[in-house]
Parts: sequence; C-alpha cells; structure tokens
Amino acid sequence: MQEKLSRRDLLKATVGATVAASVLSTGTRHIAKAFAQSASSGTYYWVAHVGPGDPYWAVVQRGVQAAGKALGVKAVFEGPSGYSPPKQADMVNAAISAKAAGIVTTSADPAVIRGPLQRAAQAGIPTIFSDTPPPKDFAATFANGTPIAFVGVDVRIAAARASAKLVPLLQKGAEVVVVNHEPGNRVLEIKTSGYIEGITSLDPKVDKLVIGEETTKAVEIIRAYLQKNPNTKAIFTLGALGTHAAVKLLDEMKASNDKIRVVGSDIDDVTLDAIKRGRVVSAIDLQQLGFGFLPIALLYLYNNYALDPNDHIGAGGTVDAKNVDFITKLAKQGFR
Amino acid sequence: MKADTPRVGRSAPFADSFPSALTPLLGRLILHRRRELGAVIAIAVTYSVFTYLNPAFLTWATFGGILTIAAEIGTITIGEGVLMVSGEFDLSVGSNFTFSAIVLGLLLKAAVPAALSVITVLGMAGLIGLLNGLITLRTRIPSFITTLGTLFFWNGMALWVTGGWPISFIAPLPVLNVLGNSTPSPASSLHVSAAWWGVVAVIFWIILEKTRYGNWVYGTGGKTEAARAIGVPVDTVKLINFTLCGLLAGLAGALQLGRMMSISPVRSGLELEAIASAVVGGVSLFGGMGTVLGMVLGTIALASIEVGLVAAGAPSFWYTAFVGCVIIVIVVINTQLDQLIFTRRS
Repeated sequence: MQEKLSRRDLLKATVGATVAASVLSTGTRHIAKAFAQSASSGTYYWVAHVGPGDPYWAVVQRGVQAAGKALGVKAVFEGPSGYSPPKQADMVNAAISAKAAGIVTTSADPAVIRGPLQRAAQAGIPTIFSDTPPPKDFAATFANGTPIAFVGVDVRIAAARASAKLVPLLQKGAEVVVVNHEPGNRVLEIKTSGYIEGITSLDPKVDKLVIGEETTKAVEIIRAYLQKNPNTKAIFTLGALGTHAAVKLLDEMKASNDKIRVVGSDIDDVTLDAIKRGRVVSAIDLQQLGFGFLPIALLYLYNNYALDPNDHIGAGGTVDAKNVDFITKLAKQGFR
Repeated sequence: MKADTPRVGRSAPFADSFPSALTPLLGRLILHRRRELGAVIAIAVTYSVFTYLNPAFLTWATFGGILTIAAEIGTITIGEGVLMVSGEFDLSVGSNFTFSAIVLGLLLKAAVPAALSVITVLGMAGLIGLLNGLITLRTRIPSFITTLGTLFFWNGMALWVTGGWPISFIAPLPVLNVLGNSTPSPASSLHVSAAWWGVVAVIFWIILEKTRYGNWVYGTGGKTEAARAIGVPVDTVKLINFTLCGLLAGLAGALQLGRMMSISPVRSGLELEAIASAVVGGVSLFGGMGTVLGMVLGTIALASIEVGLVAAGAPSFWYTAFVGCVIIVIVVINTQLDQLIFTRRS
C-alpha cells in the first residue's frame, strides 16, 4: 500500500483550507461589520439573562435600539438564546473587555452577576440594573454605587396588583393554580409569590404546575390538571406562553369566563384580545420598552453630563378591561 | 496487549512514511495535526476579524475571559470527546453538570466539610456516568437513547431537589474560591477554573497519548472488532470512559458553582456545546479519531466567537448561527483532508 503524499496533494489541502478560511473570514467580517460601526468605543450594552427570541425581550431590545438612535450612540442588546445567568455573566465580562461605555443588566441570579459588575466598576464602566431588583440580602453585597441605579419594577408587587383584581370575583378558600413554563427562573418564582400575596385575603388553596415551553404540550398538561382538579377557579400564568395555553384550552372547553378566571403576565395580541373578551381578567404590563430605553439614556447622561440617576426608577402596571383598548393600540405600534 | 500495540484510527498513523525531503513544516503539520486544523483556522479567523473590528479583543484580559468561559465547557468536552473517540455519546452531561453542582451547593450549605463534599459529588457524578455505561452496554441500546433518557431524568431531579430555585452563596466559601472564584487580580476576568481545566487536559493528554489505555480507546472506537480480536477489553474501556465523562461533567459543575457562587436548576444545554466543541476540535462522530489538543482548541474557538461577537457589538443570537457555520466548514475540511489522504493511501 502506497502511503506517500505528493506536493500537489499538500498544495491542494493547503489551498482548500485557505479558501475555506477566507470565505469564512469574509462572511464573518461582512456580517459582524454590519453590527459594529463603532464597537471599539462608546458602545452601550444591555445584557439580559435570556435572548430576544422571547417577545418580552424583543420589546426591550426595541427600547435599546430607540435609545441608541435618539442619542446618536451605539447601543446593543445581548442575551443567551435560552435562560442562562452564567452566559449572561460571560457576556458582561466580554462587554467589559470591549471597553463598553456603560452596561445594563438584570439580576436574574444576583450571585452570578455580582462579580462581573464589580469588575465593571473597577474598569470605570457605569452599570445599571433593570427589569427586577435583586433581593435585599444580595443588594447589600454589591459595592457602593455599583450599579448606579435600578430601572424597572418589583414583579412581586406588580403580580400582587394583578391578582388582587380576582379578590372580588372568587370565594374564600378557592382553588387556584400557577402554571410555570420556565421552572428555575427566579423572577418567575418571585412573580408566583406576588400572585399568591395578592389573594391572601381569600385564603386560597394554591397549586403549582410546570407546563414546559411548548404551547401544545402546555395545553394538554393544563387540561389533564383541570380534569384531575375540577374545582380549580383560577389560572395564573407567568408569561405569554402560559396565557396562550390557558386561553386556548378554555376556549376549546367552551368554559364560561366566570368558571375559571385567568390572570396573565406580559402583553401580546392574544392576551389583549382575551382581556377584551373577558377570558383574561388582568395581565401584568411591565412596560419593558422603558426598561430598554431609560437605562441607556441614564448611562448617557451619567457619562456626558455627570447626572446621577435616582436609586430606583419604577415602571410597570396592569392591563384590564379599563385600559385594554389603549394598550392594544400601543401594542400594534410595537411599544408593548 | 503491549503499550506499543499498533494504533487503530489515530489521527496521523502514516506520517512516518512521508518523505522527509517533501515535508515542509506545513505539510508535516497537516499530516500530524490535520484533525486540529479546523479549530486552528477558526481561532485564526476569529482573532483576525474581531481584532479588526475591535482592537480590545486582542488583549490578555480578553483572552483570560475566553479561557474562563472555556474552562467549564472545556472540562465537559474532554470527557465527552474521549467517550466519542471510543465510539459512544453522553447527552446527559449537561444535566449531570447541573445536578452535581446543586448537590455540592446543598452539601456546602449543610456545612459538610468541603473536601468530603467535593469528593462525594465527583463520586456521584462518576456513578451517573457509570450508570449510563451499564444501561448502554448491558441492554445494547444506543448510548444516544440511554443518555437522552438520563438527561431528562437528572434535569427533573435537579428541579425537584431545588423546587426551581437557584442555590446561591452570598459570601464566598474558601472551597468555592479554590474551585473557580479566585482571580489573579480583582479586575481580572481569568479565573482559577481555567487552571483546573489545564490540569484535566494534561492528565487526559497523557492518558490518550502516552498509555496503553489510550491505545485501547482509539482501538475501541476506530475498529471495534479488530480491537476486540487482539484482546482489547472493549466494553470495559467504554464503561470507564462513560464514568470519566460523568466525573468530568460533575467537576465542571463544581467549577461553575465556584466561579459563579450560584447554580440554577434550569437545563444548561451544555451537552450540545460540548459535542460541538469536540467536533470543531476534530473528534470524529464515528469514533476512533480525535485528540485532547483538538478538544481544547475546539473549545477555545467557540468561546472566542462568543466573546468576539459581543466585543464587536453584534447581536448575540448570531453566536448559534456562527457556530453552525463553523461546525459545517470544519467538518468539510476534515472530511476532505481524510479523503485526500485515504485516496493516496489506497
């Protein structure tokens, strides 16, 4: 068996590898260049614990882009494709290495994000928390002035407000279920606590149900749950996915609006339509466009005019029958 | 079997026959290290492009960050890669990683001595891998199916044990500092976890390249029946590799708990990243080929892309798209090189 290679073979292999590298290089360069007009300086980063594939975060991204355009700076939204605080921390570290002008981030897992934020402070990069504040025991462990502010809403309070609208509609001791599409997400667990807090006066029997991230499966899981627990009077959802599943199922069951009440979270077409029809009683409207826009604007003012923001800039509310038409109009414009 | 048993399916089995007069450095590199070539190209391209877009990318600080990101996934990749070389897969490494870190966190919170906690968790992670191996080899079902099942099982266990909440530490414990939280300086993004990864890489490089067992691993994955015929204990090799793969997944979980001081029970999805890193590093999906050096380079290549995209200010969802392209390009390069050399041999 002959095992020798000729110069020609080696040349072919080398040329092939070089051409492949060049193609990859050129493609990469063109694509990356399109997104990196001024990445080397003055870029503001908004780094979430999950990516813009989720409609909620897509609106945040829109707020970031609007802020960048309004202020004439480069502002980018980053986030891992699935829920991952460790990857979020890695991205914040990468933004520090890229000499960011400012970084906005969430505290989905405060222990994970604390180190990168302290590193940002040491590098002289201002940071802002957004979305949900860290718990008090963790907040105390952040270095003084890092982050410089929090822009967002306490989802526990927002959830309590939304679920409180059920109090006049349910009887004492009512059986309710909270459906969770993303178990392990701290923010959703806080939201669950808020829902329960809002109806404490009813002394309800609360159950939790994991439904997964696939709508069809979620519908069937809730259906099976309701068959097993026919006295369930309310379903609380923790995101648009859960609301879609609950609304779809109740529509299929042709259940009357007062048989099983739904309280949802996050705003989209399906949720708004369901509120109009009375299928959903209320939904948390976190007004996340502001979470995207305001922190970038505040960092810009901090960097250019030394304006220190207040510690906590709130946002967020509830959508119900009273304001659903106005919110629907805003949603059509992409502001919800 | 002796230590000098002829290697079956190693990456450069016929380099010795290549005429030295015709072997300039590049030629020898292609022959000896062609499986790692793709990862080297990916790293070179990544560094060229992203340094052009943002000069801050080409700094020691950024490279430290890349090594830190690569450490945990790289540790899993070595276990997964060695198992792949022996012809099997483990899709449960991501769940093993998470569950092991959670158990370690719970033991530490329960004030169990640090060394005992770490040893217990590594032992448990190894047993999870061993269980995968036993089910696969005893029932003769594909490891893909076995470990797909255990992926979901251990993910469910992680959620059940924690009730959905992360296990976090407000104040760093010494053991967490040793595992992953220590840095050369407060501002450094390089963590000690990268050193642990280096230690693992050296140990497994020695095992694969310098021992009779390494020979057996290549034989088991490359030409299984031939290896069995010359006395290689194929099933034992696979069982050991399943165990080592599980152990390294558990170690990676411990490193991340140390670095982040927190672990979430949410499914990490690291199994596919580990397989992608191994493939980019030249490990064959069909077994018998791959090196620890390639696994290390493959992991660094993907971590560099991840950091580079952020440094360039590109939206992060490009990462998965880039990784997809890189995998295809590199596998094409590897296949073409293999084919070219195979044609010449025959």
